Amino acid sequence: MHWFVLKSGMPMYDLERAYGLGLIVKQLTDEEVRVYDKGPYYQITTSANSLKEVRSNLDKLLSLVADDLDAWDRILRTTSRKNRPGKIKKIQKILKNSCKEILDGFKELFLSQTGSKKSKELLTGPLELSSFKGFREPIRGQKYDEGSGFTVPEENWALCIIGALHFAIWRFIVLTKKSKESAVIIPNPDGEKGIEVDHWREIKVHLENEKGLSRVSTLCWVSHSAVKLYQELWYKKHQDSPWEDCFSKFIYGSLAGAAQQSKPKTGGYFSLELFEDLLNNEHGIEVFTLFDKIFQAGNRKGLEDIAIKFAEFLNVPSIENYSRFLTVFSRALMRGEIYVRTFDEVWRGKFEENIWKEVIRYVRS
Amino acid sequence: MSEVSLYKVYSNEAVKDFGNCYRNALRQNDDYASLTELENVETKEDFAEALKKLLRRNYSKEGWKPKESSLEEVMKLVDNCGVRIVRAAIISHALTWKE
Repeated sequence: MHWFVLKSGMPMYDLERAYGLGLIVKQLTDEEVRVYDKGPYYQITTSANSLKEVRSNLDKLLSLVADDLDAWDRILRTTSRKNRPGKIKKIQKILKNSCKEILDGFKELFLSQTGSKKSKELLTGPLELSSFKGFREPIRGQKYDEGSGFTVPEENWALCIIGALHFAIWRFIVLTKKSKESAVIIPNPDGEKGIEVDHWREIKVHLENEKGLSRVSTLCWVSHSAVKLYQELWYKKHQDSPWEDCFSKFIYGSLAGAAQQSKPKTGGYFSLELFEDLLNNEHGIEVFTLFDKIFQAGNRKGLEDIAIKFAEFLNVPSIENYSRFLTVFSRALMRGEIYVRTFDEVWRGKFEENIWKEVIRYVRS
Repeated sequence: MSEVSLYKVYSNEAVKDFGNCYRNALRQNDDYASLTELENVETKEDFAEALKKLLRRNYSKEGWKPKESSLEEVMKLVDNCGVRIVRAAIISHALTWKE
């Protein structure tokens, strides 16, 4: 069985809707549910021939939007505290009353554009960073207007929230005493193998509990998370029943506190192409371990440049970024400042030749 | 100038030879100046000058000097691939460890 989510051009919103729909399908079947990025749309596929009845599985569905989930605070951070319970109740009501209609609405590719035209909900910033600015109104000859907020059909909004609750990873990054930001990543599946819904939920818990991730900048945290993700994926791929999940990129962004409320600070795509290639390399796990050590080395005060330049290199493995990383790394090496204590050794910046050679293989000139 | 991958240049024997020289200069002689100079080269002339200084500084060390043919080969590579790729390949060798 297949469902389709046509992309609207707002990357986080589209992906969260696809994951939200995948999660609802997963609650109604015991089979595998995969999400694929097929270019203009996301496809949700299950090998099951039919779904269980919604009414008899209502508790399972409502557990997706239970009142006590920790993630509510992050998803509804721009909604005032007194309005939050109302929003949660509304999502629960939509799921209770319209679940079947939502599933039917996404059965065909172009039906997904239809939704409730009367009832619309505001797409808030934490769900889609680009929606912060809203739509500008014509201003010629009139008073300047910031524009109205962007609204979406309430069924799509509910799906988006379910996806964001269970698939987005948020982390608070303290840059300086006065500057803090809240960063988010959501993994984008590839078009051929896709991501199994429960697999990502398992890895998400692992990544959220991971200690010592780089917090030098949002991009460093995103890159270090990618390293940890692929370390875990490596083991999953080499276990008895190997995982076949394939990621194409992370969609990431960050919010920084402004005078009144949070505002978007950075955002973009972090390519996972290099990591996917290394996953199939026989030295892959050694390379990921080395990457992890480099980020740990860059976690020390005064060596932040190492983490920043290395994250830039992993995002775009060009010769320019590689050279910049080599320069900052060799400086720290010369000063004898590289010092990473692992459970069985102290790493002082040693690159094993046969392992580093595998990294060089992917540098684009 | 043709687009050659870093990996191909890195695997070149002459580049390996010079990479070993820089590695030895760094590890045995604490010659950080040579590596820093190499990092900053932009032109072929600067590159030749940096190599010359490396050889002069470590002239007395026996057993790890590059072959003459390697010098010619490296300069040919600079002509064909450009300074930045050859420079990155040599520095990569200098920073790696061979067991």
